[in-house]
Amino acid sequence: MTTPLISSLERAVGAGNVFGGSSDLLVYEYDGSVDAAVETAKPAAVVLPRTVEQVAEVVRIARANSLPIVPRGAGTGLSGGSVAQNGGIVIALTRMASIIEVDYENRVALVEPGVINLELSDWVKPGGYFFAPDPSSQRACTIGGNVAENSGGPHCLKYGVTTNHILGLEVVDPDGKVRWIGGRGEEHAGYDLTGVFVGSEGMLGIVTKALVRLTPKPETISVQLAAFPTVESASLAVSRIIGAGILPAALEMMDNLTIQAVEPAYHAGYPMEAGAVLLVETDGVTEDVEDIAREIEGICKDAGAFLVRQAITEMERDLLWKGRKMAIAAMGRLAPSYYLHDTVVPRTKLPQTLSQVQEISKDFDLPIANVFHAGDGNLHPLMLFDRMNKSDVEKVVGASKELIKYCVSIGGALSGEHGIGTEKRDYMTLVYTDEDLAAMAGIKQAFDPAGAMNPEKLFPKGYMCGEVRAHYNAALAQKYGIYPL
Amino acid sequence: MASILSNHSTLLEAPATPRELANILAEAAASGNAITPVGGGSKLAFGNPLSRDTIKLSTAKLNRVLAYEPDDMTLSVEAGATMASVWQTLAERGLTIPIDVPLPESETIGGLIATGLCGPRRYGSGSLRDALIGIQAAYPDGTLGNAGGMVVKNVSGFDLMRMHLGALGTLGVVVSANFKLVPAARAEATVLVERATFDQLEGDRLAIHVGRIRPIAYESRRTGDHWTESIRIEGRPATVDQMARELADRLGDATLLSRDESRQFWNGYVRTEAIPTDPELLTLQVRGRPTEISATTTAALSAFADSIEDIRASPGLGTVRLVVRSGAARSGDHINAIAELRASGRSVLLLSAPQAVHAGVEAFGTPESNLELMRQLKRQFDPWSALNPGRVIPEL
Repeated sequence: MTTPLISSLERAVGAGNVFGGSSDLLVYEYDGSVDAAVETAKPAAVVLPRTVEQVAEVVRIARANSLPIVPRGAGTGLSGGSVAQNGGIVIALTRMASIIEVDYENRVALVEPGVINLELSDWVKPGGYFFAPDPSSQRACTIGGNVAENSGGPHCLKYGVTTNHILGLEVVDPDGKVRWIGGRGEEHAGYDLTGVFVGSEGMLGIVTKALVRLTPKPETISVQLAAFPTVESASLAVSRIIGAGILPAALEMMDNLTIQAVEPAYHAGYPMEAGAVLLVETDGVTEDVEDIAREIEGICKDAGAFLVRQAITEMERDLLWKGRKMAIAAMGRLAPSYYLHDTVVPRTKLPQTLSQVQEISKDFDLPIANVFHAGDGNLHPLMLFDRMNKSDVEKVVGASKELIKYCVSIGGALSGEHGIGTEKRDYMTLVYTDEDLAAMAGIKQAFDPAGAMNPEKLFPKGYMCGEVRAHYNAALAQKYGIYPL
Repeated sequence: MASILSNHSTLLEAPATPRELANILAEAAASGNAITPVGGGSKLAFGNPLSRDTIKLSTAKLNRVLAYEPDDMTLSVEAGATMASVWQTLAERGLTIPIDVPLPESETIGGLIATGLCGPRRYGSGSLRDALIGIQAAYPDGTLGNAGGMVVKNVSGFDLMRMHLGALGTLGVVVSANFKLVPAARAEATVLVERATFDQLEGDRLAIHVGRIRPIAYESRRTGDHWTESIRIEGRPATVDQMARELADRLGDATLLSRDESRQFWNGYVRTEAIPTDPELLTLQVRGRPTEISATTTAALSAFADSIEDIRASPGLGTVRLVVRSGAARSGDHINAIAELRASGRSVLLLSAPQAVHAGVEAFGTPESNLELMRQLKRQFDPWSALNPGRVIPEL
């Protein structure tokens, strides 16, 4: 059925780049989240533009029709960020996927938002560089999505998250205007608009180009596998490695339940009897890496490791990493569905948080596997369940609430790298006061006063950014008797 | 409180709590006054001139460490704390925030965030932007807003940390901030090389920039009639001297500074990057692509010629920093020089400038398309222009 809306979108981007039919839209009702946590929603249309001009034109059409605009990359997000909560037009950027320019000497690349994260790293590998943010979904997720969510990954322990690697952005604003923010000059041409934009979950505008930093590959990379009898002994090793002043490139932990899923699937060499394994990656000049690896081996053995193995060649390293990077996919061997959580706690609170996860697992009679960025205190408990079983879903929802409340109560954050989206919007008040949210609302109001971009995300349900700002101005007027605007 | 603002004093009593500070801001906004937040006071020249008189508001009494978790490697500290005091706190457990601060005894956390300036370390170990994980700021509507937290990785809500970084206190006054810490390097060394002309630096840049050794800082400074390159390496005690020697051999004719000498050298070097107080001096940062550092330096040298008192380059960053003697007779030439450098695609930042230069050229060179968004931010957070009016956006 061709509606006037679909026709005007087709005129803007070509008939092959617009989806409006029910079955075509089905796959765009979801992102990577489970429906236990994130509601699905159907957009009015999905548009796949190929140029920035087309993106701008689609934005103008959406606004003319008073429709919300929802940017989308590969749809691997885990917080509902790209689900069209209020319907509207989904702008999927996957057909804008060119690596426009690679400039090794200046260590930058200019890319379109649909470029897949791993493709960029693979592309610059012959030059001796990589793009440092490496979320587990890096085989599928896009740079535009990484910018929207400020994605992390195992290597952000040493190299930082996406925001540390974005120098500038071409963005289409909610009125369809195209502009560059940031750029090669990098810092200081007024406010750090790039810094504000990264991690804004598609709520401020649409990224159409990104100028990203390329990181030179270190001379030597070592990955060590250390197997421990218990999670506690592995946690002790993590604390001691960090305490010794070592900053590994990555420091990852997997518990026994995860090993049970991963090892039979990928034969990465993780001992099945281990209570937990650590993957410790160190990099730098060869002499230093050897020295540090010896130190780490000693620390792990002192903490109770019964096995420490080092991989130096790329093939050996990849095998050790494969188990970690594919761990979540391997969960299918244990249960039909999983809910992947993402919370961060101060690193020293990891052991007690893991004990709490076990408690919650017992209380709700719900198996929970743990895979996480131990060096960052970033947990990824995986709740294993059957989404067709209603009581299972209830357990997952209940257990999630407990888990989030606990993490916040010990000084943790709601999300380390997945974002708030719809999944955690109603938890925002656990962490932030009305005044905190009012400041965030100021950013939304500055960039998108009409609230056209990706509505119903990040702020709690019923929270209206414009009204909140007005409320504070009115309170000020009452307090001081003057309201100068 | 009303009396404080109505007695035409130019310096308020320093508030003792963040809430008190927020109340003063609201009072000022509502009564049509404007505030300049002051930390150490060493960087007040940075930016555009204020568009109207302001009352100075000191953060000196907000100088407490709110939370220090060495095992988590995080720190929460109030804005008025000096960098020297923060470093001292962190040193006991071998931790640090790895940034360059010219005057650490007086420069405060709030001032460093507000200005967002970087030194030579920017090349190899990032900047304050990378270390900032949480912030609390006071706004002229009397609110106190937190963002981020005390964890090293956090995507819960918009990034207000970066909004305030480098905003020169025009969107809010930072009252406390949280940082992720790193282990301080166990050892360091420096390689010094002297070159007769700037042209010779290009070959060195390539050798330094692409090698297996990754320096933390890499600078070239004109010293008398020649140029001195200084390359700082941090690492492990067992290997750092060997790395320095390897690099020195590659460059030839180099001098090595070992641990203490190296540290001393860089403390002195960074100290000379303090913004000068002499009102006739123009301090500029010119930036182009790193590969164009020779051209950028040449352009800066010819633009300011014999007015230059100090010139140094960060070849890995593409930045040239100049201190220029700019009396009344030369200000017209210098205004033109800045405009030409900008027209050639380079960014030029005015760290300090005589009034006459300010009158002819804007301090940041912000593109108009960005100014539009910046104005919208300013109108949201400070619709009264009560915070450092004109400092970043000339008319607001």
